[in-house]
Amino acid sequence: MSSASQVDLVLVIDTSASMRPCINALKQHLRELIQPVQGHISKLRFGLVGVSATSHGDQHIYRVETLAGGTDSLSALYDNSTQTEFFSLESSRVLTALDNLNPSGDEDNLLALDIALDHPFGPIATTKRVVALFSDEKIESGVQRSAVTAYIPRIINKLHARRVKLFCAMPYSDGAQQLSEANGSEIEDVAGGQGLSSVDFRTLLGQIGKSISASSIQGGLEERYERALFGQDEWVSIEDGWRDSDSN
Amino acid sequence: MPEMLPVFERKILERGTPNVLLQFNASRKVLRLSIDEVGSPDKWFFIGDIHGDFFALHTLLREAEGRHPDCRVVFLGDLVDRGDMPFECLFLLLDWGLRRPGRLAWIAGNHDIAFSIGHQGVFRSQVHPAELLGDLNKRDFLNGFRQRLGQFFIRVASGLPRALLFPDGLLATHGGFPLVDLHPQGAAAETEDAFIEWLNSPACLKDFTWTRIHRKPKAIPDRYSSGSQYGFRDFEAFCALKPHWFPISRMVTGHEHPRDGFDLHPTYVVNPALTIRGLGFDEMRQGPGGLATNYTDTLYLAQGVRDALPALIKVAVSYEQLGMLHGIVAETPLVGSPTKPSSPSTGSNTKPVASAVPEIAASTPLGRVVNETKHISAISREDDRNLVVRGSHSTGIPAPLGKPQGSKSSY
Repeated sequence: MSSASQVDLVLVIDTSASMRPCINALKQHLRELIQPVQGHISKLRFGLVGVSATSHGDQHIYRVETLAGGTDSLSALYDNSTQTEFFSLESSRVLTALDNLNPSGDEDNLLALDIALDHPFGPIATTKRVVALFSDEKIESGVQRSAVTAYIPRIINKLHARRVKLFCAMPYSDGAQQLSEANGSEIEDVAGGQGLSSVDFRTLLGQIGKSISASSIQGGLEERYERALFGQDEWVSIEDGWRDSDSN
Repeated sequence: MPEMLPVFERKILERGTPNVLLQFNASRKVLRLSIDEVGSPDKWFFIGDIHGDFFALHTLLREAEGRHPDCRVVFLGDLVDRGDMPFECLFLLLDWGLRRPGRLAWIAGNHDIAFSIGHQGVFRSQVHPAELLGDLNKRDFLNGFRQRLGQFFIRVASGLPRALLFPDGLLATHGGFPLVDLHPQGAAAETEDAFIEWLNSPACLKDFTWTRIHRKPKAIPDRYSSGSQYGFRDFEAFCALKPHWFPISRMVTGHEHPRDGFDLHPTYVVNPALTIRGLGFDEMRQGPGGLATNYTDTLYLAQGVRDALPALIKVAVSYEQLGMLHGIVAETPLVGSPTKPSSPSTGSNTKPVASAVPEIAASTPLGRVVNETKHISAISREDDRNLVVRGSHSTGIPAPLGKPQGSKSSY
């Protein structure tokens, strides 16, 4: 039985202060995600996005982590730097990157999701593209608050255009309901707060792994899509992270 | 098998031949069946995705006929890919239909209609993985048989219906129905004929075959992808579109492969839905025994019930016969398979099924054919020159359905 040649999986972690227990649980059970996929997929590549933010009046300072590094990796992502590796075949690199995350501040999950969707996924004809988001806060929470929901239809369109299957473990809300209407998306309703400490990660990751293994991909051409929905490709780097250049 | 192909070509594809497959090559592919055409609902049986699982197809066809000698069978599509006996399944299904004219409806699955012929006669598929492609595009040592078989399959698939509506409101389809973004066009139809024409438009036909059922309330149609999901509110909206012209109240589908063999979709309350899986192999866990490893202990067939979802019939699997078909000697353990009695004559299996659907007592149809004298014992496909159906006098695998006992498996 043949199968798709590659799965690109981007883990999106809310790295706000409350999420430390979740990150530890993710590390502990990551193999539960890998096991069902192995044997059916010849290549499983990992990506990682962690976003947290702090507000200073109208200004938001973001800290962004990817598998390619910290703040500098964001400019590499939007400069289309071919030298920078945003995916890795080695789960140990993901574990190390998870270790290096330093939860603090507030969340901005839609921005994190958007950065994940801008990742340089493998060819659409041979790659299952998956994003798995973990947060203990509602999608509407965080530094951008009510403005966030206006972006959800654009995020959904981008999910469709990029043929990305979305898994979210986060508290249910109107925004989550909207996101769940995206084709292929699965929202796991979890209790809010305390870093998803009540979540059975072993089962959850196992389910994601099985779903990745079972779903088939369709060929076709790469569609045009809107990059950097929040304008993050034009943000400026400062000492503590990234600053929205329009928010002065 | 090569000698059977001309028979199928002549009897199924030639002009002027009465449609041996129900609604095959009809001018419309989404059709309402009349009360006269349907008759008693309980003679109608539904089979979900088969995907090259010869054993499952054979078992389920025999079960249907065993339960009702004048049965009608609706195969909900996806005959090929994934499993290792796609050609055998094609020939078995068509043979069954040819011997029972007008009693087999094969609804197109996305894997069935995905094939086309590209540059220099190379076969292509819109789906991936598409295991049949590898078979069709192998170097042909059989005087063009593969090329001809592929062309035949494409022609047959193009003539298949996409959905059938029964008089009591049951919609039988592979995937689903036209998604909500298409509904305004249907709502604008001013006559029944115009509405049916809309249902038969290319966009709607695609949705009947490719869309996927989901437990969520609503889904935003994804027109970048063929296999966009829908939710129960979307189905309710479709049912409410033109109920006087196309009165749908519930649905039976394939396309998904529920791990338990069926899915009653608990969120589909107002307009219920049932998805059944025909194949028995475990797509995720195959061992040295190939498809026979971790094979299910129960296959599911569904039988029509007036004004309700079809009833589920559980059919116990004989691992002995399954193993013989796949060339596994009895001593080879089928990893993960529950121990089964060697005699397939007792198959009572009372796994509980949700009470919303009437359950029909289980049986093991294979038990009725143990003593037939001549039947297929193995189909070997180790290499591309070895597409051979071997006759045998053993008592393992039952004869092709309807074949006179003692005859060879050819025309």
